[in-house]
Amino acid sequence: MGVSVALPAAMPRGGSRETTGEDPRDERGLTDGDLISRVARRDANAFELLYRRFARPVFGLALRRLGDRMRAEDAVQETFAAIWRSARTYRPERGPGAPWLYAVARNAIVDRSRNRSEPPAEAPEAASLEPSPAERAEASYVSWRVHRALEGLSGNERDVIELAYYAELSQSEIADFLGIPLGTVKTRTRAGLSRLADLLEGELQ
Amino acid sequence: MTPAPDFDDLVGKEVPDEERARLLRAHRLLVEAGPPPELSPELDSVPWPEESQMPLLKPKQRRPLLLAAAIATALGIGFVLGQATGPSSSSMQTVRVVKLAGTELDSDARATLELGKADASGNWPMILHARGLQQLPEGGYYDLYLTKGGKPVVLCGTFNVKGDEIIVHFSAAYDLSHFDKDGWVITRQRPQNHEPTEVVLRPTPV
Repeated sequence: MGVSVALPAAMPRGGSRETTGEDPRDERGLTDGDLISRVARRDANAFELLYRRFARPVFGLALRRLGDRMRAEDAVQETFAAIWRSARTYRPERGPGAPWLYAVARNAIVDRSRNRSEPPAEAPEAASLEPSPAERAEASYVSWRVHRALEGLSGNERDVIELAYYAELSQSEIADFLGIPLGTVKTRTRAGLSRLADLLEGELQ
Repeated sequence: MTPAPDFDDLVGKEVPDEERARLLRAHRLLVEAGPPPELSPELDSVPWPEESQMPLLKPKQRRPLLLAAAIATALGIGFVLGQATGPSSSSMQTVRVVKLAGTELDSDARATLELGKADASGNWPMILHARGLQQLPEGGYYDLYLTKGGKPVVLCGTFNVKGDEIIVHFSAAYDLSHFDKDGWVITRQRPQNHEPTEVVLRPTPV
């Protein structure tokens, strides 16, 4: 069974897969698209690498859509089963791999929610203060790209970035926490931000 | 939303304007995105899809071919017990050795592929010893394929080469009876071409 792959409802400025920039390469020169193509040929190593890159972004997306950790965990497994099944439908010439994976993930999560006749966790739109569906979709997509990009940092860089942004630690506190000099924290933070800027080029255009 | 850290505190003030603007955009996206979730222990390991266990079979074919695979494995094990010999370089019990010779694309290359005894789950361990393969440009790599009708059809693993000799361990979960006898080839992949079109090593004629 294949999975129909629709474009994300809200793409970063520009709105089409062709304008989202080049697929970033890892240290081995493999892009997300390369890995999807290899999964299509049933390469288990590529599937594992793809999982390592996208498990957290998929889990984050599922959590936002379903609002429940257990259901989100199930959705992650179903998403990667869908990726395995539908990798052959990916066309590299149409754009990078991350938007395609986003579409597969989103569809698998939505399908799962519908199939089980469970009400969506998101509250229905009630007041004008609520973000519109398009705004929510765009926010989800930005989170997806950023979380995917974080997986592209080295472990050292990712640690300092996540501690600074999401654990509310100051640079000095990070140095104490990791047991490294303050200067090293600053160097890694700046290098990590620079690498993120590279990886998020599609977002920044 | 988590409060944003002070951008100037993070990057300092002696950053050229253009670079500062680039980093600031990344900073704002990090804040907008919020923290990624921590994976639960259940998600730490790869959730292999059920389909990945039988990669070549369509659902309707699965049951009879599973039976056939079990019989073939049992026969194979019987054969192995009688025949197990060979230049095993590890604890793997070698059941077959396939010699590979370089094609016109890399005529100096040569290799042997040792096929081990399948485990209880049907995984066949393999050890590739290769010599003389060219070191490829950045982004290039080699693939080990199983062939059918002489054509590479399923991937058994990838590797890279630095130096003259390499030993690589692989594992394949395929039912080998579906493929050519001694049907392994090694292909050369380039950064912009991931199709198995350039066969550099193929089995030597017996």
